[in-house]
Amino acid sequence: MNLRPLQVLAVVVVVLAPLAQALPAPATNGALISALSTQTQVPNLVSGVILKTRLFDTLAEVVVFTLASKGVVWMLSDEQPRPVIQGLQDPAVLVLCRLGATVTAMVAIELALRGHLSPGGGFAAGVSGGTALGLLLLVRAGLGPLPAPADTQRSQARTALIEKLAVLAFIAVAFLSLEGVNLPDGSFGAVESGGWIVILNVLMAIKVTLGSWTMVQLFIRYRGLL
Amino acid sequence: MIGAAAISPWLLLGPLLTVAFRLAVWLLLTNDLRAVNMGVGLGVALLLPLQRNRRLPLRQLALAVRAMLAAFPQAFREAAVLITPRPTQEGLAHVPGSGRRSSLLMFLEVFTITLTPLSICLGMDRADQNYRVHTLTPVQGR
Repeated sequence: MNLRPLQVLAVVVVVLAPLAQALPAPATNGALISALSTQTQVPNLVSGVILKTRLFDTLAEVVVFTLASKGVVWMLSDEQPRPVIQGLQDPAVLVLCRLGATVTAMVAIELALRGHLSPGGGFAAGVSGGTALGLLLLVRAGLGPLPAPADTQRSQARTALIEKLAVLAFIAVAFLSLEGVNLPDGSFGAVESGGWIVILNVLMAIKVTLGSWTMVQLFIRYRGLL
Repeated sequence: MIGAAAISPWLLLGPLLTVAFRLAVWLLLTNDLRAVNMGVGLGVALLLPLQRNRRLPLRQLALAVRAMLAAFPQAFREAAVLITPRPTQEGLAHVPGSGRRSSLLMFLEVFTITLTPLSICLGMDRADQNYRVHTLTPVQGR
């Protein structure tokens, strides 16, 4: 007996069944949404909730991310870095990687600066920025001899310093915001509106960019490209 | 004085194109033409590091742009060929390129090859500056 049509029918029913359910009525959350909108004064309510209404939570998240990147540094501090890292060599691929790095860098800046206006925010911007730096890291080996170890160490120390300063600034600004010190609101929907939210987004983007880049970079240096 | 005279205005064309490209990406991302946003975009475009400056091979660029424009109707023809079911044969071709002279030129060449559905650029041989291209050729008849 051929059961194939029955199997196909079963799959179709299972996949399509959720579509038969009605969506929840949109009107029930209206009061909550307008309350949030007046409270945060930004069009992107998600950003508003993350960086104003629930700022305590986000503060702890940033600290958790910092601890994670510290953890990677500590875990690998005992090991020897690889003497040679295989990078990309193909010139055509290098050109495309650099183009990708430019575009992801622009996306990162857009997500950070306009995270309060449209979907985006510091974490997403940081991931995009980290991708840009990661692409440049892949490209670097194809562009000539690597810099001296002393230079690498100095630039790593500088990166770590900027990262720490970004975290400290984030915590300081977050406390100002939690204490109720506010910047002028600006006009609703403009880049320069939203009070502390823009600044917090940018600081978070810097932190996550450098943190994720540091982690990726360390794993590549100690464990090699997968 | 000699140093100042050696800087030709053509050398500025490369950075100018780069900055214009970044600004265009910024405007496409933000969809906001107000002065504040344009200023931010221009600042970002200027602050991102610029590549080492080389003179653009203008003549070759013009040829590459022409080849790219010619590839568009070709791409539609090949897409129509792909829609009709017919046997195809795979192959590996070597297309001569202009080498590492300019990133923009290399991008245009790779884009031209990859735009047509029946050919895709796999990479570049470092030595002889050819692109390795994977091709599909429709087989006539059976």
